[in-house]
Amino acid sequence: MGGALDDARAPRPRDGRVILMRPSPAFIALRYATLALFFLFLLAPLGVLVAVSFNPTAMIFPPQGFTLKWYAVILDKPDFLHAAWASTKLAALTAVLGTACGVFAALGLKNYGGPLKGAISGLLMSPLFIPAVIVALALFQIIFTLGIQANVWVLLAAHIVVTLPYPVRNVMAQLDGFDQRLEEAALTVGATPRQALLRVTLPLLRASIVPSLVIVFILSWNNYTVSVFLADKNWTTLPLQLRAYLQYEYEPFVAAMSTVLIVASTVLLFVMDRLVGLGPKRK
Amino acid sequence: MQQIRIAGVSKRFDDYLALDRVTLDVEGGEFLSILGPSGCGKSTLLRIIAGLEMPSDGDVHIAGKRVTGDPVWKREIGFVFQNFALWPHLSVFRNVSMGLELRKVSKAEIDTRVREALRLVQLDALANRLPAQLSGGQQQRVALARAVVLKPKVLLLDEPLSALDKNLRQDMQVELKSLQRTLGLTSIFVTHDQEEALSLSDRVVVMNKGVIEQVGTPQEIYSTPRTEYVAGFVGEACFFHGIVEGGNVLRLADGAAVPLAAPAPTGARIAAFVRPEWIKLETPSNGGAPAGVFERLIYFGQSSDYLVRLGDRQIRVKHRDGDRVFANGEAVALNCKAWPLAAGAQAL
Repeated sequence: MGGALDDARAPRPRDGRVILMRPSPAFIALRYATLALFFLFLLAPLGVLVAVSFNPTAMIFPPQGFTLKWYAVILDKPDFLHAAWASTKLAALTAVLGTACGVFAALGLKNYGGPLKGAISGLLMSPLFIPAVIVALALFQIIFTLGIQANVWVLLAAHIVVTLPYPVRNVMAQLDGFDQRLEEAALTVGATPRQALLRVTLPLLRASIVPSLVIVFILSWNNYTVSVFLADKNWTTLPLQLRAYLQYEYEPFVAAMSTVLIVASTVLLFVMDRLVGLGPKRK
Repeated sequence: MQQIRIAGVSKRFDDYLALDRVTLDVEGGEFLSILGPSGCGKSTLLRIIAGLEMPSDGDVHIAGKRVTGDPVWKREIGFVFQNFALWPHLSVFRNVSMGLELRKVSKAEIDTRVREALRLVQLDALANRLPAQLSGGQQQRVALARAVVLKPKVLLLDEPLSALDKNLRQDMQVELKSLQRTLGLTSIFVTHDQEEALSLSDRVVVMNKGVIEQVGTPQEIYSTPRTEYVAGFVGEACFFHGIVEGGNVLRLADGAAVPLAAPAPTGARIAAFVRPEWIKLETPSNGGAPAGVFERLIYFGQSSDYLVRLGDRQIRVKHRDGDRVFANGEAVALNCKAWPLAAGAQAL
């Protein structure tokens, strides 16, 4: 249908996309070279670490044999297991509370049209620009001045503060293109604003909430700078434990531990991507 | 009984006056269209009736109750949005059932009423689809079902057909009207399409720049508009400006005389207008009718128009079967009765 009307000299894909000019071979080569370098710098060090973890003797590359014994050693180190569990709990709490704060901050900023809007959103974003070590030092100074012992709640608050820009930005970006009429439609069928939020807005914001949870979890799980100032002895997180261990020992066990972390992060990202799609949306 | 009563409603956005003391009554069961160009305030008025905007001044009554201060969710209205505004994460069924769920209606009754509403718009087979899996026309029907399932006191429609293509739009017009009749729903329909307004409505409100220019039946609006604006907006019109002579003749500046369809005060400077189909082209005689020059015939398939030059204006005249065909450049006389616009209101 309608094919006869199309100009035969100007074939077009059926979805109406415009075909761009074909790039030159030199450009394509350059593009692949850049990509290759990128992966080399990003992944090669990790590859080295993974390889070292299989080395029976020492932290040396290339490995001089193959063993999985360092992985078994992980289970013999209660300090590390304890630290991993502490990190998990902390990261999960940070993810849930931080994302909740981020969602409400973004919703609030959207409805607030006052003169302080720019200042508030700038403030929420500031942890992106201020080095985390300064935020941590400031918090440390405060609790020191107030005479409070370092405890998990201060640590949690600090983790939330430094990761807050990510959920705020994610949710704000989605709200930016959000059709207000979807909420209004809920009001017209009798929903109060709170019911409209729960039944329409929040379910639709899932697309930015779930990625926020994942990214905040990973950032908190990996955080060293803030934790080193504010963690008390009961809450030695995994990065702190690794660092502490490395001061005295330097054996492939550390590489094995790191490999586990790399794999865990990758699996987490992969599963989440399958569940909700973290990458750019394909239309 | 008036189902909707709008009394002196104004709406100010900063220093822009979107609505200026609008007063309007809508009868129970009536289908009323609000017609006007974009920015005339018609959507704002509809949103004020719905409670999605608050008026700066004035009152809104629905079904005999003053609702001016009531929030949307207490007003018992059905609203259909221009882009349908269906919830993309919910099935067709859940889109329609949401309002009932919020009212804590029993599961069994929800099921019956949603099925009934979907049957009314012929979508009962697609209840489990997501909105994205439906065509534009189907989405439109879901939006309608969502609005009527609650048995609202009034149905408010904000340009609901403008997102559809032309053929579908005409089908939906027929369906919408029969649905409204079946349910006996008082409806307010906002549109910028004058044909849509004329063909669907019991009464039409023509708005311009935040005020109501005229309210009337489609026939009144089309045939006896009160202002030049209304005459020009609801159909094609050719305007004549002149001085009334002897009560029923309009003397134009160039000396031609146009008979008036209704008497006007002698000596008044008024404007009158004719529709293209009211004019008959004739060979000039010495009757004093406006004289023009025939320019050409435009063929549209189902009909044709003459183009006639009248002084420095070019006007269209409907060609009727059996009319004489004139030669290009031939002198013609325009035989017509012009309708005077509200005397005084349109002084030259």
